[in-house]
Amino acid sequence: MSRIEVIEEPGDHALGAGVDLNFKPGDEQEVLMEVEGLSKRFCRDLKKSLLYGVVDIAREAVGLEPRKDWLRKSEFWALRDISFKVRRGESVGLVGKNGSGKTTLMRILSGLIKPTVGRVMTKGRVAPLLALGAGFNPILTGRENIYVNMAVLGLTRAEIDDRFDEVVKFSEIEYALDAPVQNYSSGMTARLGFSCAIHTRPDILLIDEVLAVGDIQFRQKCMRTLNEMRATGTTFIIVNHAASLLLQVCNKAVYINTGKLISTGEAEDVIDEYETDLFKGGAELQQARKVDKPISSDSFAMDAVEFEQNGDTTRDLRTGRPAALRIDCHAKTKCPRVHFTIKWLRLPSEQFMTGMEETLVAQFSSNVEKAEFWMEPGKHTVRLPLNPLVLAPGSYQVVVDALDIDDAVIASRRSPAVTSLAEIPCRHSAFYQPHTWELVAEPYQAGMH
Amino acid sequence: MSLKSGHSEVRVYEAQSALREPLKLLRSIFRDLFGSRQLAFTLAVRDVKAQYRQSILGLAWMVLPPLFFTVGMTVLQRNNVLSLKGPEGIPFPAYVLVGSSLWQMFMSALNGPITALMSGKGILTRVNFPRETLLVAELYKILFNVSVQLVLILVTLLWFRIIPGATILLFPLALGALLLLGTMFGIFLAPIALLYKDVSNALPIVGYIWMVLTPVLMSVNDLAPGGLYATVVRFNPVTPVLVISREFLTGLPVTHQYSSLGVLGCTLVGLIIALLYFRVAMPMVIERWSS
Repeated sequence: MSRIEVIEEPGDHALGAGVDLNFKPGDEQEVLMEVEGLSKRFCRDLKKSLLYGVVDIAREAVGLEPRKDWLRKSEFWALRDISFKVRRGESVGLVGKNGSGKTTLMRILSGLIKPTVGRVMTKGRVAPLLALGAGFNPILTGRENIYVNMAVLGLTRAEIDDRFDEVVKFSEIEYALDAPVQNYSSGMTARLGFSCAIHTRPDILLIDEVLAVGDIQFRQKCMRTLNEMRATGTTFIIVNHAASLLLQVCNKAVYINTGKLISTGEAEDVIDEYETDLFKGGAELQQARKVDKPISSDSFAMDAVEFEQNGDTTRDLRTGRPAALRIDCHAKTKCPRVHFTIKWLRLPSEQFMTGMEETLVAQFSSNVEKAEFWMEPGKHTVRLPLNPLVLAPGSYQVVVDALDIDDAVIASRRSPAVTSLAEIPCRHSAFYQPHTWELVAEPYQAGMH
Repeated sequence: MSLKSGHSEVRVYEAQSALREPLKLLRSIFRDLFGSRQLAFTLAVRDVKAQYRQSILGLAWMVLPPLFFTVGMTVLQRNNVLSLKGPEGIPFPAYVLVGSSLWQMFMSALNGPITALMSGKGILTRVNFPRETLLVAELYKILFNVSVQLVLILVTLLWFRIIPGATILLFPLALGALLLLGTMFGIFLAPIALLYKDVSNALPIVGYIWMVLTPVLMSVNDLAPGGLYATVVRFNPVTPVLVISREFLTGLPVTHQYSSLGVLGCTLVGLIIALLYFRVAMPMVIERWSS
């Protein structure tokens, strides 16, 4: 069903058609957010917390400096001495175990609560997606709530009028626009909330675990929109536990643990470090994660492994229609008889969870199929038309290994996670078998069985 | 879609108290108050709509309580249970209705900030917008309710053939002073009320005692001069503004004009202090709410 063909592609050619995740903003990029020596003190005991609250209010009201670097009884540091910078167009994944202070940090960044020590600077419009649809009134209709919600997020009436149609179109709930929001499902509310928030056209988006709502198609749409927004210069900070999701949209990461900054930097390195800490001893997972990093050798490298459908690079595939897998590679030296092994992995259905097994659903080796390539130094594209795509609905990744004449692996690369959706329901199927139904003109004859 | 925005406001969140530069803080408060008037209006319209969408009698609920209170008081007075008469030239029911409505308006202004912040908890803990907006929105709502009640009062006055004089033109000013006075107390109470339920629990009791110490049902002239009660009533800041509002509305001879102006002046200064205090207190309240 699949055939491997090689397309020579001389000269320069840009990586993929989608968003370049290896985008490295230089120092000339404008700093949109700066966190300096940030600490935040909280109290575990509610009664004491309220009392301290009154004391703090009274101290502030008479203009006394807050006491720094000092804990009262039952208090602890929720954040301690955090510093980092975020530039325009960067997208930062914020990782850490539960209770490590991620949400507290997001709340300070959005200006909801004050630092105890230190300082936070933000530049431009900040849209918090800490809870979708904050400020929705259940009695009022979706239409009325769009106006209220976007006004709370800082837009004027005229701006909302302008963007109203776009908001409705993106949320895909035209049919329920005049029903009260209390009759909406949680997914519908989330769609409306997300749509309102992104259409405020923020410079900085703060996203705290809210992408897990909504159906898979809408989540993919959200991810796509986020990538588009980043490409046009929007910066975001995302809290999420799923490394695969963060690696899809983030190029930087910040890792905090029990309120302390452990590391910041390139997303892959920081998330690796976080997962290593998280699964200390869980060698298997580490092994699996290691594959995520492309491996190349002195002679050969793969620059991208992408899916195509309808002529575009995509991460949303339609089962039952033609698609293709494309491998962009370049030979650094003359490589005779390069061949490939492709493993198809089905990801856990809840891709926002880590620690679940991925399953191998298919594997093909080009040398078994008598397809080996002679590659001159330079760039090449290997293409596998899939006519049609037969994957059952779900999320998948492929791992491509390139092997040389001695069957030694010379490069390895994992594709981004892709989702396949079926236009024809095939929920109980392991795969989609292309077929048609017909009533045969000449019926069977007795005695043939 | 183009998602770039030309808006590049710089915000800084620091540990230091913003009160170190009170003028700068004040300027930012007034800028926010002015800048959020549209949002405040949107929120007020939202609440008023939601309030009446689930009601059949709707606006009638604004006028029924003072109406029935007045009927009750009048029954008590006619049967000599209450020895109140009210001043010459105005029937007792009209006097009671005006006085109790004005008191009700003061109390709703006082409760306003607490109610507004409690019901705005959802957005306060999730979106950073000027918190003062909720206060302004609540004032809009109170003004809406007040205008409905004023219709009842004017109808009642006409019913009793009481024609207000030219002084009625000054009534909006007096009413404004009364509402701002209530709002000022409300803003001072609100942050603490949001932390401790005791404040909300105590408010009805305090309101009741305060009403007894305010000439709501009686006239100041009815009090025996020099007594402790009369002195407390006299020094009650609500007394002059409530009395003068009633006089403007009913065409009674005007008293208390100087003390009212004094109260108005103090209220305006107090409001500025209240807004500064509100600005520094709110982040701490929000932090305790959801940490």
